[in-house]
Amino acid sequence: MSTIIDRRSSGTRSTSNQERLQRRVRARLKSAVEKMARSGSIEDLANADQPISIPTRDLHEPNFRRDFSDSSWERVLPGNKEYQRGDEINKPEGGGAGQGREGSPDGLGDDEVAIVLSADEFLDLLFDGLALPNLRKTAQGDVQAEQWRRAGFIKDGSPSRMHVGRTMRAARARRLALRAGKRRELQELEEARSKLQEEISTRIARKEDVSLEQERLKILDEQISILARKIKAIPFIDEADLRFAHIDQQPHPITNAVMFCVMDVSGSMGEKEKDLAKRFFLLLYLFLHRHYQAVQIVFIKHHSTATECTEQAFFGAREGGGTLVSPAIMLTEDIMTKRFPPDRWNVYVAQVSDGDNYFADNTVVAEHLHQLLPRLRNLFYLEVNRENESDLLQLYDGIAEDYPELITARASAQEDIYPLFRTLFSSEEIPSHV
Amino acid sequence: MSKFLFTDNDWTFPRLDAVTEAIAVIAAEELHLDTYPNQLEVISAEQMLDAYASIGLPVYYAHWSFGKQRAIESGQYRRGEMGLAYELVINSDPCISYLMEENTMTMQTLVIAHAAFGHNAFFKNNAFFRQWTDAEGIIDYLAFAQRYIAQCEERFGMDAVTDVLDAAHAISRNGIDRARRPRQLSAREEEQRWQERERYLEQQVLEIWRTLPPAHTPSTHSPDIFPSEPQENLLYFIEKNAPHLEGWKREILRIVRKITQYLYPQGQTKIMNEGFACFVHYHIMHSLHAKGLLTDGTLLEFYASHTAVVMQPDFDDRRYSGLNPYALGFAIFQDIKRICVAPTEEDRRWFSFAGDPDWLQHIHFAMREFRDESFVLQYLSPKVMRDLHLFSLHNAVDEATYRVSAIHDDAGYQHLREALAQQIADSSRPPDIQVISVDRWGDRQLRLKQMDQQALDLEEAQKTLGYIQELWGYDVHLDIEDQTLTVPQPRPDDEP
Repeated sequence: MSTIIDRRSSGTRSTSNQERLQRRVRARLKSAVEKMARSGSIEDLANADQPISIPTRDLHEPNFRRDFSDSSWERVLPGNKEYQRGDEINKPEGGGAGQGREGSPDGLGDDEVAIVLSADEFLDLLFDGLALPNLRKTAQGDVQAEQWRRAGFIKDGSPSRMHVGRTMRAARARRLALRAGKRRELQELEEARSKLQEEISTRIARKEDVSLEQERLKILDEQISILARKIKAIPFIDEADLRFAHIDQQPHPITNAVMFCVMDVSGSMGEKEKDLAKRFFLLLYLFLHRHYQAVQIVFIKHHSTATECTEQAFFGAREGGGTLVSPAIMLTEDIMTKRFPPDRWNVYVAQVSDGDNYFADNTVVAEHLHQLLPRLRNLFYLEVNRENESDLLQLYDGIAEDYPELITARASAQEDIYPLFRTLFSSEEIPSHV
Repeated sequence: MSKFLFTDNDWTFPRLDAVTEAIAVIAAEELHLDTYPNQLEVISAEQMLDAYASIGLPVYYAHWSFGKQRAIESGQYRRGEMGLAYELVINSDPCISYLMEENTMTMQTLVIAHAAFGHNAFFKNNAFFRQWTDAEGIIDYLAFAQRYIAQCEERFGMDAVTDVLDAAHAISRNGIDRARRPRQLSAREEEQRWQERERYLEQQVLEIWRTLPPAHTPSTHSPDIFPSEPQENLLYFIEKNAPHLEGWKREILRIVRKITQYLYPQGQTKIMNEGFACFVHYHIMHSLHAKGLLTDGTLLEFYASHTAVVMQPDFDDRRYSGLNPYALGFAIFQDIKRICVAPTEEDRRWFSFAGDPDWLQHIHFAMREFRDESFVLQYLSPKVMRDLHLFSLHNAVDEATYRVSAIHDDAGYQHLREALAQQIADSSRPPDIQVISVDRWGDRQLRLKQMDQQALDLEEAQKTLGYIQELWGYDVHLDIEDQTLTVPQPRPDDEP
């Protein structure tokens, strides 16, 4: 009469409701995400599984209901201790109809709902409506790599690629096919021979002439020995049996990207500038990560010389000295050529600087940029914390007129970075300069 | 060899089977329970949260409000503010009970007795459930609703469907025929056919409306009043009479109305339903122990859970959050048995059945024929009022203090009983708002009127009115005692 079912493996079914809930509060989630991107800590941004609380008034479901605050009522309560009929009790301050619950440890009150976004959902909202400016190239298929792939079996090839299993299978099939007919014939002949022999022996017993039969027996014996030779001559393995594994070159799009983070670490770049840079790099990294399977990062710091370094050294180090930009550009070019050839990688460069550069170095920079830019997807140049445009920025802007890959921008406060990012990547148009 | 069903506390499927069988024997032989066949499903905590979010229904259409509910509840659960129920049971045939996988074997035994036999018998026998719900068809209907709404989302877009559902949910509590009972289950198919015809007729009416020249006849000359009598079921009225509502929207209103109606008895019988289930599990657990099937340790664990469930915190206790339906219901059912078995002089004055040794018959009668309001009015005894130390508080708006209007003494019993019944009635019934007229020959405005005297939350009412107007397509007014509510700004029209 009763059935017991184990339902635990059927999983949860709340996704569709969750999806609709997020859709409903999308605008609010988006602004919360954007606020985090603007002013939240970088750690929050990088591992975005923080719950986002949404005021319930956004999710209010009205209906006809009573208003107890402003009317007479009578209520039955349990646990009387000393009251007698007719006793009067002072009303609590502030109406007291509702019992407020204190805020919980995570700061959520009764009037808030926490929505936990997965990392993907978070980034979807963060980069909603944004696109990489140079992605069209990939769509046209100009950057593709060749890859060796298995492509079945062929009858000809180098011995090292011979497929033993396939070859033996083919050999066995051939042997079976060639032998079968001859075997049948052989069997028939042998049967005929034994019959003949029997006849000979009966004739001999009856003392009859057997010379004709002896003649036929001789012919049969010859035929049998020929057939046996033929069967034996079928080779165990033949050239026709050989099979080779085939591999073929097939084109496939490059799905890896490398991002060069280039930053000026000379004395003029303080904590604040570095934080701006970090925020910019992080957003760019997350954004690239949405487009490519894997994104590698190369950190290059420079003052008067440029070195590749770790992330800690990159953001932590503070070094003195004057500033030269060209060594960084050259190092980037060098590493790219050696380790990340552009025919196999989507190369992005993000450069942050306060614009200080020896004037004489500018021509060298220009020269190298002309070489570097055609091989890149994009070079983003962000100038931080400067009241007016530096010579370097003007130089870059000049070059950007010829190379749409070069994108420049300026920012002076943490809050600027995310909006700037949005303008840089808004998918309606592709700005080359902001 | 002991007869114990289990001695350690891990549950296994064979044990669940054995326990269910043993309970079924007691339920049938000692309590004469008539139940639907049982389907016990073991689920995880996550799945329990899912079930919570969809009012316990195993299949439900998708809507953001259920996602919101789940977000709130899973947050509370994770913070440890809310424990999950040990079980959840669905009024269906077969009767589906969910058992949490975290439960100990003792808890599973308790839960099976409570849900799979207590609630199950209540669903099958209580007059309210029998008349208002169709246990056999509900799962199919829910599956149909889920499919239908998913199809609508595909065809008309998620936003359009959400709009209709939002509006339907806003007035779902006013989507029940309280005065008129729905038809008997045997007439279900008949009813369907009848509704098909009615819908067809409505569509014909619509065509005639369309051909009328607009607003030539001034509304004051309107010869007839439509509807001829006030209509309490707003959802039904709009579904059948809204001038321009597309067919699929009407069907969605109907789905919301049907499901609300299915759930309606549960809100009306919370005290009784839980009380009866507690009464049943209490009897069954003791009986299992008396038969030597449960160890003393199991019984002690059972007591710990049972007392936690039927505990009623005092009004000034931090844990107090209203009257506990488990506590009140269990106390009354236990008391009915006591009044039969060991009546006092007082009981004889209050109850005509006091001293009748056939207590089971009275328990069954109480379980079958009442709902919370009438149940309290009929069976709340002075003994229970004294045990719970009930008292009533009266609040008048213009006074600075509350007044204690009655306590648990001879002078107060009757008043307490009535006040509590009234309180239950008020809390389980939404404000009584009815359709009084439609200006069919003029601007087609819909006029609603609040028929009871309770203060209405005006801000809420206005928002709700906005939803009604969205469905109706023309102006909607609500008359409250001394004022008329309208929707402040006409919402942008749905039509393209």
